[in-house]
Amino acid sequence: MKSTNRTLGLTLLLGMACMLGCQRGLPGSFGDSNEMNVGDVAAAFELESTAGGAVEVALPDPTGFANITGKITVNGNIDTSKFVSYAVNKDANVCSSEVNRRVQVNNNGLQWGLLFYDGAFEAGNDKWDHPEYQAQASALLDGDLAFDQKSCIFLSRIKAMRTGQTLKILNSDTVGHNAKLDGLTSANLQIGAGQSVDYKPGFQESKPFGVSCSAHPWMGSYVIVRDNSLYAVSGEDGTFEIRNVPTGVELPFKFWHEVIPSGSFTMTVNGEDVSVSRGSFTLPTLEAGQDLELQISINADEFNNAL
Amino acid sequence: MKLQLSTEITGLRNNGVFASLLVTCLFTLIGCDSNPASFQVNEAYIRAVEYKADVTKPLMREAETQLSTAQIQNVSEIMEGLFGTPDEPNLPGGVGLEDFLSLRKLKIAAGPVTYTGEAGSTSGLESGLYRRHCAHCHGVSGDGHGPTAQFLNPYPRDYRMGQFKFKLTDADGAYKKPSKADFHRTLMQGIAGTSMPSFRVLPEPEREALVDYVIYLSIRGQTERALIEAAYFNASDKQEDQGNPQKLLVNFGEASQDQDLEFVKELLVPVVLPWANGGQGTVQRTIEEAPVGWDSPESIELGRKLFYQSKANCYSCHGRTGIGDGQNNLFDNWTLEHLGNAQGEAAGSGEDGEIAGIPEYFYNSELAQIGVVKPRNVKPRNLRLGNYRGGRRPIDIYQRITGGIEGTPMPANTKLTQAEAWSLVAYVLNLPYEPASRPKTAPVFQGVGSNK
Repeated sequence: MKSTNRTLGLTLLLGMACMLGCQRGLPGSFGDSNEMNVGDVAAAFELESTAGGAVEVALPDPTGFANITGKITVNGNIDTSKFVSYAVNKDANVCSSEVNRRVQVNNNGLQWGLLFYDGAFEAGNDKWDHPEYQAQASALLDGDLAFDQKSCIFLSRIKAMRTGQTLKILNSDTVGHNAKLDGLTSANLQIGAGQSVDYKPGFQESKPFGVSCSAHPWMGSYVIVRDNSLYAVSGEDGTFEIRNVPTGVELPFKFWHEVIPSGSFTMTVNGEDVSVSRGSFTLPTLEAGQDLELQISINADEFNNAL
Repeated sequence: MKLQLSTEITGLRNNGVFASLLVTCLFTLIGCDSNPASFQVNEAYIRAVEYKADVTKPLMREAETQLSTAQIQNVSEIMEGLFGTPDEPNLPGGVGLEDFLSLRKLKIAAGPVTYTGEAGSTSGLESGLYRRHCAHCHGVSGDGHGPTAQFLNPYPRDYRMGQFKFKLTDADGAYKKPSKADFHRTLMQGIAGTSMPSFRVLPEPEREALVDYVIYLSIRGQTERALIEAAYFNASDKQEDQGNPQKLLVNFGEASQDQDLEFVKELLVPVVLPWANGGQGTVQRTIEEAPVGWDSPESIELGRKLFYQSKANCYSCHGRTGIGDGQNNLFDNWTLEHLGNAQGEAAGSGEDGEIAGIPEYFYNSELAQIGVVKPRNVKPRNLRLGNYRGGRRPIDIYQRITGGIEGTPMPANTKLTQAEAWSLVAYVLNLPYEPASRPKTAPVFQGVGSNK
């Protein structure tokens, strides 16, 4: 009888071990799916349906256009001791090994800060897309608007452009470069000394993507492509301008800087605290013909902590 | 004999062993009645998105992701509704996928392995082709992280980024999705110098089914990445907003469900468009025949000059002697994704992952489980060996030079004239036959061990 109990006990243990052993969760497994939820998605995207998805959401009609101007300032000092020099290991006669100033502040003004509209938009609709912008929708970004590199440094740290436009990428160096663009329209283009290539992206990006040079791996920059023209990159003194912003509609915006690309922090806008969550914040709805001026201030610690 | 056996059985019953065996079998059945095969969530990408969005939070080191379990489950349910499971694949409608992918072929490639004539076979073909031939390296989800993956160098391709190296579709300055003909060629030829074998022995319809399935896995993976990114940026930061940490992409059962699903479609369309190419799928580019005399000594000499000029800039990575020692501290896109993608930040020097600049936490079994493998440098090809992964035909080399190799530092050269590009092809193909490339022959010792 004792032997029987022992056998039974051992068998039970073995059985439990089997259960435990065989039901281990795999990494990335999150238990059973809710079949009703899965079914709802499958029904909305049924193969035979031509709609795909559920309903087209009609956009509201904007009431007109307004202009936004302003300045991004940094409150406090950037810890420049955290900057490091470009790690030049070839073509030293051409390439600069200067300090990579990842945050550029001049008289408190933040350069290379990107602001862009992040809401729904209807390109080509005169109420959303100002005719002035439509006229530039397939422009070649050349001259001052081109994307250049000199001394093995990209001259723009962030370049914003619109889907349908063509970006001229120049090489003003005496050595060969290549521009590796890691966007939805990805490309890696060889550019001989003094030559240029064209880049024509086909898709809107939700955030800037990296640009690099494989021949000189310390080189880095960013490009963002949007389906609209409602964006601005702050200039040397931190000022920016976004003209022809649709009015009477919600204005979700994003702030981006290469050091805090999608940060969550509090900044002040015209003296009021505004919460930025993963880069997102909302501007007040504007009235037709309004000229809105924004004084945006960001604490230097937000940059220093990320450097 | 019969009586003896009966007595033994009775004895077994009596001491309870038989009953115990029954219980064991029952437990085993319950325990091992595993759930149907499911695609794993791309947790490596969740971490990559979070890491890149906020470098102050080194999430690669933390056990938990910022996205909550409920948010990840939400992504997982949307994915299953769109694309089904590894046993029952599905194609979402309304975005044109059915124009160039066949659900019938997907069902032949998917599922557990069955053999001709058995249940589950379709039209006399096997099902489970992918799991039989591909999954052990490329993984059930196409994540390039099957059981054998970590032992291979190079690692098997992760299809989920939608980037592929060897194709004849790239031209005029932007990478394009590979065509079905490109996949067929890779299946037929294998990839020289890697663990990817030729599947020439498979019947044509089975190769066709596998090609459709790889494209399906790739589109599925890209969609998942888009959903993960949207989930992260739409969700409120749970550290910032404790009150609403579980904002979901699709709020099932809520009034916003239809609108949420429309948003999912908006994410799906740009993933499908580059593959669809107007419904016909991508097609290979037309490359005109090489000009007469492209491989003449004069043309080879022109190619040699271009090799060292900034216009082609080949020497910069392939080295001054063409042995691939010009730039050894770069990574491919699949590795860069986990390294932060900040150029220069990841660039170190060294061999096979023992690289300055790569954080220690990368050598971590937990990360290895979700597909973040030990980083390795991508090395420029040693052009003197005559081993070309994308094919050794002149047209293959021409395409690599003018189209580039997606996901790697090898750029496309759109500025070379056709004659210049063919001269470079001639020079590259001639390199293994230059005297400097020939292995030294063993010295001949006169008199020693010789009969003469």
